Amino acid sequence: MFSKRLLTIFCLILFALINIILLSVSAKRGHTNSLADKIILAAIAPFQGGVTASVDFCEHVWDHYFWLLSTRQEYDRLRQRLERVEAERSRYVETRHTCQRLRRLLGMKEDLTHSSLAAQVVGVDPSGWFHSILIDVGTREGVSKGMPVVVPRGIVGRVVKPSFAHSKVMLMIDRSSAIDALVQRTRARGIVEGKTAEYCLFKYALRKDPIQVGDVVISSGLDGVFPKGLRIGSVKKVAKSPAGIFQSVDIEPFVDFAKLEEVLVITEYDGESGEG
Amino acid sequence: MKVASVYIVLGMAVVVLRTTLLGLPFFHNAVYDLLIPLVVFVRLRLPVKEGVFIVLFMGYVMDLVSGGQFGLYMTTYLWVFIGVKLISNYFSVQENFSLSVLLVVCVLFENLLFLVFSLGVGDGAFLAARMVGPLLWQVALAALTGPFILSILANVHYRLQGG
Repeated sequence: MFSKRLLTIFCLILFALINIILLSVSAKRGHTNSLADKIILAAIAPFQGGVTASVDFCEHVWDHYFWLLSTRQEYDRLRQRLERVEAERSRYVETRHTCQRLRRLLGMKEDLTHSSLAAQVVGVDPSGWFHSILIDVGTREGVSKGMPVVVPRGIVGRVVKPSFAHSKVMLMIDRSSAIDALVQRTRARGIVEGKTAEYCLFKYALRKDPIQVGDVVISSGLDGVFPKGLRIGSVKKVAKSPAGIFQSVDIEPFVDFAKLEEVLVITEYDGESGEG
Repeated sequence: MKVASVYIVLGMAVVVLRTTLLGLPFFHNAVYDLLIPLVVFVRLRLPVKEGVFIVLFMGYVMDLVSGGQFGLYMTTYLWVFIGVKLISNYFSVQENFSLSVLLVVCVLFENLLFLVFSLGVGDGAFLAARMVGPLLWQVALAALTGPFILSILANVHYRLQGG
């Protein structure tokens, strides 16, 4: 009844439709974690770790031995900077003591009690379209899905797929990432969504909220994933269209995602598990 | 099975390379997916059953290490696998030039699929525009190095067959 050619085309179309349906289901289910996944990750990750360590070693040799020419200038500059920072630090210590006394007076609980785990980045995402990293801690060390990952400069992302000794972390610059956030100065609320490697969007900030370029954006703690007060980035651009109730705000992350080497996984905060 | 395991080990080495060295900021996503020449080669030289197994396994591994939705790499490699067969039915894919064109088409197809599945409808043009630079590099590298990689794979295959 049908020619072979027609049957082939029909089969291909049917296959494409099934493929699209399966991908849609997979997108809704998110990242699963089967035994096979864990075994394959465990097989690849040590090699990734080895190559990454070799690259780091080469970079270290380059930075410490071949670039000594500019080191002296850098040293002088850093020394001046250190003196300034020392002065600033002594003011900060004084303020902190005052703050602690006031806290005690008010009977408030210390809120910066994150329990964290240090990890090394062993691999990055193979495609330029998505943003994730692989770190060398997993369920063995107590890491679970949803735990926040940070560096001293700010938020890195969250764990999406923990395996026995390694975990996959979705970076905050990935387009699937969303963080409930606040503008530190004005307390204007919004959602930080990944856009590109260079900047994120601060969405749903009301037009009436006064937001300026340079304002610092921090996590609000309301999403149940990231503790309150973690630094995200600074406002890079603000645009208010004539219509609409929201303003368009671009944020430059504090973290340099191209140079991530070590990160911290927050395993517990405020006495609760970091699991989201 | 011996042949399949050799290609899987080769593929795993490519995955490690892709997620470490080639992931360095220095490369700016300019290096194309080096598993594509492997998929093309496997389709042209190996039996279908063995080829499908290798391709799906490598897609599975890539999906595991990628931040995209699960199944995207498996889908890409499977359709490249099917597409190579369809193209080779109509055009000769023996010379370097035709192999270059074939690899360029596959690299473009992969990026197009990622664009479609990784984006919301509104931002498609924006991200596609940002990826134009790296994509041009990928296409150029695929055209230049693709046939060379395929000839290395052919050499490996020849030795595996006891040649």
